[in-house]
Amino acid sequence: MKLVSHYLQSISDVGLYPSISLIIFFSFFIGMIWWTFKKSNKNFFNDMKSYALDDDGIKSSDQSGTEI
Amino acid sequence: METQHFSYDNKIVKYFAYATILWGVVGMLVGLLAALQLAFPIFNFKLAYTTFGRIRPIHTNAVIFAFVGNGIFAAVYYSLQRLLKARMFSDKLSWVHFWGWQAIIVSAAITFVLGITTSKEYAELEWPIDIAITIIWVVFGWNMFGTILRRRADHLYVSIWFYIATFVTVAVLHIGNSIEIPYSWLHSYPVYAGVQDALVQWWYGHNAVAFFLTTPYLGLMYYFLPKAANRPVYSYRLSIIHFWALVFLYIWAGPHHLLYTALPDWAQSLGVVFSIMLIAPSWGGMFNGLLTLRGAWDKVRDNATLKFMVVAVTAYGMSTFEGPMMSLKWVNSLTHYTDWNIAHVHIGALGWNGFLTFGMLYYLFPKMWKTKLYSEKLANAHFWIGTLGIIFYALPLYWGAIVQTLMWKEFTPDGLLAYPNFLETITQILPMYHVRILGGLLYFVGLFLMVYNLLKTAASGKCADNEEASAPALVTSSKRARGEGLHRWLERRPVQFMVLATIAILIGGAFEIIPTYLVKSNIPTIESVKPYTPLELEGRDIYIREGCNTCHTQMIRPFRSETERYGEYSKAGELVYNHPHLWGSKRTGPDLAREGVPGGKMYKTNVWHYNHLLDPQKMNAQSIMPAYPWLIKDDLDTSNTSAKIRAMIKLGVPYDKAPYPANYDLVAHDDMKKQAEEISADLKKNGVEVASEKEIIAVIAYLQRLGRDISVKE
Repeated sequence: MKLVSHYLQSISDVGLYPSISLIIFFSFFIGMIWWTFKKSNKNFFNDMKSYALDDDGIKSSDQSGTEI
Repeated sequence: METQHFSYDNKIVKYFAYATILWGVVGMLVGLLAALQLAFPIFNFKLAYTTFGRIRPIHTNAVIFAFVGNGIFAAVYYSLQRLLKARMFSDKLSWVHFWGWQAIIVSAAITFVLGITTSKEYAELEWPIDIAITIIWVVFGWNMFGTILRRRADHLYVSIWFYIATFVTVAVLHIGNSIEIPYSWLHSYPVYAGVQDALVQWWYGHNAVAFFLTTPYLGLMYYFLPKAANRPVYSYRLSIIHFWALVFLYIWAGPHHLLYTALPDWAQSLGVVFSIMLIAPSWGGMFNGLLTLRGAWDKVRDNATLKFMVVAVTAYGMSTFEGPMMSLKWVNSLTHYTDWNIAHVHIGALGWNGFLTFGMLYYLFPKMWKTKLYSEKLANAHFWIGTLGIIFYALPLYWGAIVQTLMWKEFTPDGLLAYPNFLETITQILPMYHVRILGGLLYFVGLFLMVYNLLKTAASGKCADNEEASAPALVTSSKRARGEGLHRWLERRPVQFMVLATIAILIGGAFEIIPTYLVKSNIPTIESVKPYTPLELEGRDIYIREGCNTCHTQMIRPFRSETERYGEYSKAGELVYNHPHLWGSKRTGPDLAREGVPGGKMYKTNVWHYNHLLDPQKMNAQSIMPAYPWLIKDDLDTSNTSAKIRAMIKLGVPYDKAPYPANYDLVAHDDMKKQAEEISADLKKNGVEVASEKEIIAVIAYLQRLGRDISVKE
């Protein structure tokens, strides 16, 4: 374990890394939310909603999930 | 497009489903025994193999890894094939996975009964079994990814993302927390010590809840709930957002298990903040599940499957609200170390995992055996009895927890502890332990009804081992189509998806743990702290073997109510030689961190310890502690002492530096003999004849050492 901490301490500005990772996480998340609400994806999301119901080839009649 | 014919492997699903039921019965039966032992110590049977300290890990591991584990695999093997329109990648791998997992469960049960344990909660298994788990887990992942790569469906449905996240994270957690140095074929010491060990353990422990008990079951929910209700998912958008939020946030929340301990403050605060944020994605999942039923609530009335699922999802919502609340420091100062924790996990285990599993099984059996459920009435009865069981289990424990914590903290007007005797606070809540047994019993009766109902259902139909299916072949393209978003491209590329998910959880885990290595001031060194003597080390290993840490904590928090009762609060620097840490998480007995401080509040003589371990009820008629007569009968096994010292040296414990002589591993036996004879002589002086070779001498040596290093004369 000493080896690990020695190695880490030898990286200059290692303290900056958490901030960088936070920024990466945050922007990924924002990008993803933007993507889910993009208008052109609407059909895709509506299709995927009933994806689990299709798998044995029997489409049910009452799967007309309304828009949200 | 060419239509391809293939078959789904139902046989493997059937086996996993049967295993789920079998281990459910076993795990809950052992749970009942544990509940009985806590109320009536006679149920420990005065046998080493059946004391509470060994029974409790059998119960927790059986329910988590055997019952829920097989439930996960049944769900994955059923839904994955259908969602991907492909048979499992390799039947051979499927069966290696199945039998391998069952073999691990059996070996776990055997080693726990024998007292072979690492003491780390939910990671008690020793290193050979740890390696076996790793291998079988890789087999599972290999099989899953093989299937994903050979799929005939274009997109990966959200359930599959949850399965992938489960696979990746459990692998990382298991390996990260199991890094240990073996000193014999069945024993090892973890490389981490004290605060770091605790942090890694609860990073693991918390995320085992997240990625073994939660994410795979959310995947299960997203498949089986729409199926059973025959309704589309309420919002697929929400499912994506809450998936990523859950994966990102969960991994940071581990330190909330260590509030007010010797863990550095910044890590505690980090855990609190992320725990509070977790409410959002958790409730996103709950709402998505419940709202899937909008317009179909009439079905819930006549359908037991849906009833189970609704209560399961509701229990998930309650549990994931309660969890963050318990992470608030002031709430935690009251609830931690009490039965509140036990009630909380049982809302999750009995409500969320248990009921969702039952719902799934009630759906799967008629479907796979191509018949009707034998009795909807019995299933309904199961539902109501089970629900009552959860209520009768949890409410008494919540009540008991509040009563006990307030008793612990109450002072008289003169500033003295109102209940200085710990035992009083246990005796007070014992009736609650009795009611809890009733709750567990009700739940078990419900389970029994299910077993009967499902066996009858299976008998009335026939399960085709291979279910014929057909689907058009998939024309794949790894290129992003014009106008196709990144995420949609990503979800068609499982390997890239897995890499990203791994990076997400690795970064979270790394930034939680690495700083304790980096920042020296996190663990201040204390000059007077010395390694254990060989005899104390042996005693400590017996303490671990008997699972003393399941009931006795070794972590005094900096509250006046605790320092008054136990002595000086615990410091990080005191614990640097503790491989593993033994902080514990529940006080069924008093904290022992300062047990050995001479003249301290907890100090007892050698003779007291001898008599107490031999027969606790003789010392205190109302004590619920098991007796440990075999410690007096059995000789201490010293064949591994040298190997233990060598392992400790490798881990950085300075047995190789002055004042220790060179080759201390070889001369350690002399030190051990000398110390044992001193204790034996002291016992003799006080009227107890016991040979210095007996195990109890080592245990007493260890107990008398606890907390001594920084004792100040009072």
